[in-house]
Amino acid sequence: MSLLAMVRRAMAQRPLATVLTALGVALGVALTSVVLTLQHELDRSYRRQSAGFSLVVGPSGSGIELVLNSIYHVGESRGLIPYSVLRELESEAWRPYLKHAVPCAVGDSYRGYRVVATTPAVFDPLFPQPEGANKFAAGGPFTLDPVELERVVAAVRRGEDPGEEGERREAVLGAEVARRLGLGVGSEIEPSHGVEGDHHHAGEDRWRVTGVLRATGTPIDRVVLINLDSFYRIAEHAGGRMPVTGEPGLSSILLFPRRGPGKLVLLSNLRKRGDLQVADVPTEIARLLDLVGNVDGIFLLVAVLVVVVAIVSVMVAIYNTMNERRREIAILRALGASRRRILSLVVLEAALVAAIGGLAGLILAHAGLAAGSARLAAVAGLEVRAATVLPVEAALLGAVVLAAAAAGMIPAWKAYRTDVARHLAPLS
Amino acid sequence: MSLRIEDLEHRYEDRGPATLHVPRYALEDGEQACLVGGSGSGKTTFLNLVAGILAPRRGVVRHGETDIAALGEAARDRFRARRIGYVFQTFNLLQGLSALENLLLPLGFAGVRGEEARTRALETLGRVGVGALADSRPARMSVGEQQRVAIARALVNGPALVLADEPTANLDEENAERALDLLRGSVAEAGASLLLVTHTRSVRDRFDRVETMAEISA
Repeated sequence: MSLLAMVRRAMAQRPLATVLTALGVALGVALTSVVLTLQHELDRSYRRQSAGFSLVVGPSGSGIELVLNSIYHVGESRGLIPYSVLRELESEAWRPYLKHAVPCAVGDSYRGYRVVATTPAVFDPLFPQPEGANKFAAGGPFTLDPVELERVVAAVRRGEDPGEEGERREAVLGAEVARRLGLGVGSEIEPSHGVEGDHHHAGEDRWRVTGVLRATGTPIDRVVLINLDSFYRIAEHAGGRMPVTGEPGLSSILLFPRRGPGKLVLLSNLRKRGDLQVADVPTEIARLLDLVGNVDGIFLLVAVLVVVVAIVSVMVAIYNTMNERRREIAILRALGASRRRILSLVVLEAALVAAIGGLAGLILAHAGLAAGSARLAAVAGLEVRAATVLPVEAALLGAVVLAAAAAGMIPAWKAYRTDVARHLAPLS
Repeated sequence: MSLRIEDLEHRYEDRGPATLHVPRYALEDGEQACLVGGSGSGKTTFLNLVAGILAPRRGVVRHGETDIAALGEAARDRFRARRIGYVFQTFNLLQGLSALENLLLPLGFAGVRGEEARTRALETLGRVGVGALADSRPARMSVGEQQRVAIARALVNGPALVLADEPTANLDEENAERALDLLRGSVAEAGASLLLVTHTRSVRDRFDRVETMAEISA
């Protein structure tokens, strides 16, 4: 009989203890694996989803909040900056440093999806979502007449109704919005005010869908883009104006600096301004992930502790059987088994229980992640690849098996030292 | 393979100064001998010394040409696996294993594996009349059947010497008689020698050569 077959028999003789201790290991490994995977996917997905962005200008406040708001489209807008900032940044003075600027005004939503009012600048090949020049799965961009936009802005600034003259209400949908709501080019949507969609605009405010973006796995998939002038025309958008001057406002402006010193020049100049804030996207993401990482670290610690407790319980369970197994061990020795073989038997048993538990744990974890991935995407914008087993998880499994084998040395040593002569003595 | 013991001395670790001393004992090739002694007389200890499970403080335990008292523990284990069969008192089968697997164990320890091991194990089980029980667990066998499997296990490696420690202790008279006959017959058939220890009169009476522990130790 092979060593492995003997160990399997020993385990099968105590099915309850074997299953329970393996289950403990499974839970610990599953927990650790979930934390590790989420940590990795969070990091990967936040970095990927912010890739290509450089600077964001917005109202004074938290930089992280500004980034979350304008790139991940989560959270409420914290205030406004005047529309004139956009004009200023697009002026000749900044041209050597700034290649491209994309304004965003938020405040509306459509059936749970955020509506972002912007200009066709968002369809520029420079804009990273969707990547490249080919942005549309169907249809094309909304149209926006710059002259008409300036007229509307000027009218709003004066407190006048810009009227319906030259108005085009057009929208472009993110891939998920179109797919989930069954919309396409030519559909009409009726956004409501408030990002939570709590209030409908008065009258018949319908936007015609002109295009659907390619699916990207980034936050833009869950956004409805509309042209900025149509946003300013809505009478209820008093909230879209600066409080004192009544000037139309923007929630943020995404900046794409030129190569070279452009970013540094923009950053240092805009930082001197008291009326607005500039956030460096990669820095803010790194800070955010650091913060999250600290919390993750605590989860990871708890998960690893569960694994450690499980391994100790494997050891204790085997140790507790040693007294009843002494006669068996003595018989094996009398049949010619060496001490080292007895030692290997016990160590292998501990390692095997841990390996079975560990594998079950990984399967459990990834089945759980697969089941929860849709919800994670919806709630946290987190795209989890449940089928991927990370190298660190494979390492975890290896470490668990090794640790169990090491812990198994304790009962194994007891087995090794079994006094054969004494335990062979007739039971009388 | 003959057994020669000379000036064997063993000290009990857990019984203070008590020692077992056997100046001389010999068993010829194919011979069958019975050792008699009450509990505490040292007969099991003597068997363990002969088997190499215990190492003597001094002396010679020569199996054929090999003095196992001079070997290290691992070498004694290997020697025991290949050359010595051991029958304990009745309940000595591994309960979690089938009859066949109980025989595959010592074969494995002696380095015989795979199909050859299986064939030899089945053949040996057949020889003692329990071939049909190969896949049964000890718990599902009668006490007599269990002891047949134990005898098969002691013989499966083709040992030169079979040691038996109270092999009939838990059997009723009829079963004891049958088991003993089977043991002696099978050992003789296999060409091995037999050294059996007991305190039971009925067992002792069936042997030609009988000594007491008191006679061989001094």
